[in-house]
Amino acid sequence: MNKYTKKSFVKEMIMITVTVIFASPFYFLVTNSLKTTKEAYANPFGLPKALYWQSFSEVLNGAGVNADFAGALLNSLIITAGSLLLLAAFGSLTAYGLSRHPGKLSSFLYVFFVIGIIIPSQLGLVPIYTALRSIGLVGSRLGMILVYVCKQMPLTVFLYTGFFKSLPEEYEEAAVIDGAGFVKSFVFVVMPQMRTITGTALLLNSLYIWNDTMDQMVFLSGSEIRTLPVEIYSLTTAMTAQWNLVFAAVIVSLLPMIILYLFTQKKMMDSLAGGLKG
Amino acid sequence: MKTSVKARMKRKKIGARVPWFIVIPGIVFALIGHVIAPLQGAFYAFTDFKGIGEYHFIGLDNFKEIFMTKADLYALLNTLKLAIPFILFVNLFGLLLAIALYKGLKTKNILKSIFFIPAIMIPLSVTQVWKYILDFDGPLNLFLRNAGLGQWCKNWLGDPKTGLFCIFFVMLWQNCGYSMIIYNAGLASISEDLYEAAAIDGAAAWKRFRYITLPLLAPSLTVVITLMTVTGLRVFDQVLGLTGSGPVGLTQTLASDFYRQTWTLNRYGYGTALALMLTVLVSVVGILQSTVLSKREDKMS
Repeated sequence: MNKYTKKSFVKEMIMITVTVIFASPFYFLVTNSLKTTKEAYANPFGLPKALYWQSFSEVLNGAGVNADFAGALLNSLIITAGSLLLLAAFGSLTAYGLSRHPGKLSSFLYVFFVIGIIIPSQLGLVPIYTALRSIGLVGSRLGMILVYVCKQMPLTVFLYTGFFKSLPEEYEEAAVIDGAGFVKSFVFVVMPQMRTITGTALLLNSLYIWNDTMDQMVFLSGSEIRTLPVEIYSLTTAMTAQWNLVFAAVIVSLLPMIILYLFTQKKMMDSLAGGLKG
Repeated sequence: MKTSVKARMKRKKIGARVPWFIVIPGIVFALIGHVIAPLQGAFYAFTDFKGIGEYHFIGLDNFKEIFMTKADLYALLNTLKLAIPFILFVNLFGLLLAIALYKGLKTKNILKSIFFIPAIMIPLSVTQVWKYILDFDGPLNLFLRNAGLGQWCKNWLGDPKTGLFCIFFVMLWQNCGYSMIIYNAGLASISEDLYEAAAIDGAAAWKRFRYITLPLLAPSLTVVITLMTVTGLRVFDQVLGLTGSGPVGLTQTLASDFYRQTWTLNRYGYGTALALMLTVLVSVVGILQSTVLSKREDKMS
């Protein structure tokens, strides 16, 4: 393992080459975001002559580019965080209630949640849009949060139900015997045990919500509340061929998820690899 | 069986202390998003709803028009043209990568991360890099010209044939790391003892792969196919980012056509008819797959 044989060395070199080719778009992304527009055109392959950071400040404060990526970043963060919070709270309660009331009704509801994960939700977009418009929530953070809470609820309940079904009830019983009511036993006995599954639910839901384009285009484009995908789209249609600006914006929009990955690594991979199977 | 009855009794005891009403909010949100709204949407598909004002029930007219209009028919065909090869190749490359990076390499963890990272990125954002590379004045054509292959230069995104291929390619590039980690988890769940026993029995590497690895990866195959079918049939971000459905709508898909008809042209009824087709397509393919795949899994195990 520690020493190369001829064969393992060749294999390693081949795979490194394949990976470098695979990742080459990121070379263009980073180098050209640090060039001036002129230089990005004259010299697309080379490294920047001098590091030109101005594209980043321009897209972040919106000077001259009519884009506000600092605001978009904030909106994306608020919408994602708000949705995650409501999903974890209501999803875990629903799953807990169902798993502690076994019976036909609970099994039926469980199947309903599983089907809800698979069926695509575009079909419901128009009715949700007209409903939110009639109560003035189109183009608002709250409206967007409600859309995602509806959309991601089945997956969240599914994840928590799988967890609660396998959770031994001895601790809850002990709490009940000690005279704890529901609220006390849920907050002090059940919730501390939910940490791992909540991590999985947060990661899967944040990946979906942060990266989703269509819903945010539908509910937020043209409004004051623009998120990262919406702002990227309007920037690319307004600033065609100013690749240094576009790439600076792209990097700003990608960094939060990359940072989240660097912090969670194996947990994120495992959640994605196993999350949907439970 | 007996224990499960006992366990159920136990659960009932605790259940008495757990109020029923806590399940309501989650169920209400899920019902709105996944039952009430889609049903109302399915109803709009048979109307001439324009988003505001009165609307009329027009029967199958929307669907007739979809099949009579070349651009909308293209949306359906393009969706299939993209999704079918995508599902095949994303499985193939994911499996190959998982096997190549499973063990033996010193750099396997960092290489795995690099292949995985595009899968967690905003598709519309990361697609911009490919738009740049494939641009007529972009690095790809520049490279071809400099290498004396000028006759291979193309307007990659401006020609519907190559444009569709580019969409397929970028989908594959972004998602193969995702299928890789699913196969990787599948490989990790296969016990080393099986390989050792087979090696003692004198089974060659290929045979070990064919008779141990492949059958035991059947559950991973099911997951990847199910997941990627939905991803493939719903393709929208790459279309929007690369070709914007152009030229003249020839690279649009069901999802991008749905978006354009509904929110650009305000034809809500017509748009939801396209969405209904997409939903039916995904459901039918999903049901077929799960029956075939679960039968196959049973056979293999």
